[in-house]
This record gives sequence, structure tokens and C-alpha cells, in this order.
Amino acid sequence: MTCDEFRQHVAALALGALEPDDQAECQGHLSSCDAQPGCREAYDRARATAVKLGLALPPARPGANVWRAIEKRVGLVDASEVPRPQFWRHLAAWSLSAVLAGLLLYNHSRQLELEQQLARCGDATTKVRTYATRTALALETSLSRMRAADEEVARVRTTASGAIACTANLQQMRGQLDLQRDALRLLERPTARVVALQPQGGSSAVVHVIFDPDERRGIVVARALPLALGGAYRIWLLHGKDPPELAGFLTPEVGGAALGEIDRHLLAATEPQGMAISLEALAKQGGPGETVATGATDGLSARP
Amino acid sequence: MSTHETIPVQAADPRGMLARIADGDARALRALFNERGGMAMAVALRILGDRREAELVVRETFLEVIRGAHQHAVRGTCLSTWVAALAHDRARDRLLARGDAAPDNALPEPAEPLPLESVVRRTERKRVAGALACLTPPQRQVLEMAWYDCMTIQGIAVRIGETEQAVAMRMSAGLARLAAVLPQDTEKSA
Repeated sequence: MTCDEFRQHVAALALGALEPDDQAECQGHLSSCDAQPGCREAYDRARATAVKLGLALPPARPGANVWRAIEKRVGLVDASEVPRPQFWRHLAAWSLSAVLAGLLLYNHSRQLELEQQLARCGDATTKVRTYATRTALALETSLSRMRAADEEVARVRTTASGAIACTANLQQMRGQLDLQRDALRLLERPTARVVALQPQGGSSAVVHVIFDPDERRGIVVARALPLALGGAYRIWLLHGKDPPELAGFLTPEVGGAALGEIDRHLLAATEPQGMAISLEALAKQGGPGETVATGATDGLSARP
Repeated sequence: MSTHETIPVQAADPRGMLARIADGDARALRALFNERGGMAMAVALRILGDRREAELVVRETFLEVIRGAHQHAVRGTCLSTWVAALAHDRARDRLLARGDAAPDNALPEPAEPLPLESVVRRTERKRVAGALACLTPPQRQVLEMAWYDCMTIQGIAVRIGETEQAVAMRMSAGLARLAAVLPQDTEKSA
């Protein structure tokens, strides 16, 4: 309800002539309106005028019982007839006032104290919240950095392991190429001998050993090696009744081709007149396992 | 103490009178009762049309005066309008509680004037009556139906066969006219 609408109803409101809903709406406006000149002043003027309607009536005498009822109800005593105990009444009033004032003062001070405590608690809470927020942000930042660092480390590790693997592969390939070149060079030497190993256990492997007694080198060339469990073969040097010695490894490629060198240090210490070689699958640990090919030289210095 | 005993009321000092009443001064309350009781009775009787109920209203009105004397003494309330408003509102509450807010023949019992109505009050009554005479009959009619018969605009419109808007306009115009003719505070000017 606007102030203009209220002013249209103010006369009816002052006279009590509005329907309950309209009256409630007007009174709601009246309690909240702060316009100047105000609706409150307009209502007060209208109400004061309306009330004066009653002053136009000629007075009517109420019965004597009305005044007696009022006297009895409130216990009034004529001041001219019985003196009132002014002193005691005033004393009681002052005492009561003092007590009430004391209570009021105590409550007020207590309220102030509580408000101060509340304010301090509020400040502390705000500080704790601020600190917690900052700590959480710092932790979150640290965690993010740690995650990023972990990812970087993993990436580097992956890269490094890949690089290492590639390097190993390349080195292995390079070693194989070098060994192939050495094998070819060894074959061209006049002192070299080629010994064919005999397949064992139904194996179809074709294995040859190129020996050069002068250089004390031996290279095993194989093809059609069956796929070994573990992927590689061991080269054993057999010395009659002495325990065999592990002299190297063969790792077959696709098709079973493999190239491996007999340990030079072992060849340097081996008698040139007799040497046996055995190829065994790598799966068996310790001593000789399943032999796929064996052979022996009559003497490293002898030609085939 | 006789009901008809007249004690001079210090009309020019309503705050002093209310302060004395608030302090429990029986003589002050009695003086006010003698001065305003007739007016309160007339208002209640005009609205309720029943003497017994009107006397109950007068009793309630003066008990309310005792309760609110201190507060209204501080405010400087006009005694005449305050007592008249109290009597009117109490009577109106009773009338509405009865459920016959618009009696067809709610003629009041013949008023019995107090023998010792003060000159001040008599002058005041005549001034208000004169102001009412300045209104047009339709204006005076709707004001009286609203104030004394406690009827709403809607009820008045139905009763007199006019639109609610016409009744509201007459009400506003009549009250404005009355306010222009009457001084705002007869108590303080007295």
C-alpha cells in the first residue's frame, strides 16, 4: 500500500469503518511508513477529529454503582480522608528501584562482557578460518607441485628406461654386427677351422663353431634353433672329466638364427688339442641342461 | 462522598491531573469521573443502547484511565479525546461481540444530563455540535453511522443504497470539514 492509497483510507480507518482485511493492511502501512509529512500524523489528526464526535452528545449520568465499583476495584482512598503512608511507600519504591537498577547494571555489564567475549571469539574464529584457508591453499599448491613432479619423474623414468632399452638394443645390435664382421673376418683367416656340432635330442638345429687357434677366438653360428624357454642358450665348454664351464650365450632371432662368441679368457686357458661344446636351453639353472647340439674339436690347430 | 460532588478540575493542566491519578489520588480520579463520566456514558449508551452495558463500559474506561495515566501524562494527551476514545472503543468492542453491529432501531435511552455539567464541557459540546451542523446531512449521516453504529463502508453503502466509493468520499470530506472547523486540541485550548 502506498502513502497515497493510505491517505484515501485514513478517514475510514480513523472511524473504524474499514473491513478487517483493509484495516490490517492500513495498520501495516502505518507501522512501517516513515514518510514526511507522515501518514502517522494524518491518521492522528483524523482520529482526534473522529473521537470528537462523541463530545457532541449531551452527557448521560452513570449510576452511582459505577463509581463505587471503580473505587472497590482499585482500592482507592480519598487523600483528604486518610493520610497515605508516603514515607514507607516511597522507601519501598526507592528500594525496589535500587534493586532493579542494580540488576539492570549487573545485566548490562554482563551483557557487555558477553558481547566482548563473543567479539573476541568471532575474531579468533575469523583468524583460524583465514589460517586454515591459507594452509589448505598452500597444501593444495604443494600437492599439485608434487603431482607434477611425480609425473615428470615418471615421464623421465619412462624416457630413461626407454633410452636405456634402446641403447641396450642398439648396443646389442652393434655387438651382433661387430660379431658378424669378426666371424666373416675369422673365416677368411687361413688358420681358422669350422666345426659342425651334432644336433641332439631330435633337434634340427644347425650349429657351427668357427675357431681360430692363433687368435684363440671361437664364434658359434647357429640357425634353426628351437625357441628356447627363457629365450637364450648357454654355451658350455667341456673338458673331459672336469666340470663344464659356461662360455657364453646365444640369443636366437626370428628363424632361430643366433651368433655368440666363446669367452676368450676360457679359450686362452684351454688346451688346443681338444675342446667340446654343448648348447643348452637357458631355462635350466646350474649345470648342463637339455642339450640341443654338441661337438668336439680334435685340435684347434688342425684344419678340417 | 457523593457522586454528584463537584471538585474543580484543573482543565488547563491535564498532565497534572493525570499525574495525580497515576499517583493514586482518589480526588483527582473522582474529579475526572465527574467531568468526563457523563460524556463516556453518553457515548457508550449511544453505541450500545443498553444502560447496564454502558455503565460497564464507563467502569472499564476509567479503570483504563488509571492504568494509562502515567504514560498519557508524559505524552500530554488531551483528556477529553482520550476518555471519549476509550469509551467508544470499549463500547464498539462490546457491540461487535454481540454481533449486531448495525441495529436498525438502536435508539439510545433518553440521556439524563448531569445537573452540574461544567461550563467548559458544555461549551465544548456545543462547539462540536455546531461543527457537525456545518456538514451536509449525507456527510453527517455516514460519520454517525460509522462512529456510533460501528458500521463499515460496505455496510453503510448497502444501508443507504450508495456505492462504497461515494460513502468513502463523503466520510473523508466530512471528517476533513469537521477538522477544519474544530480546533485540534480542545483540552489544551480550554
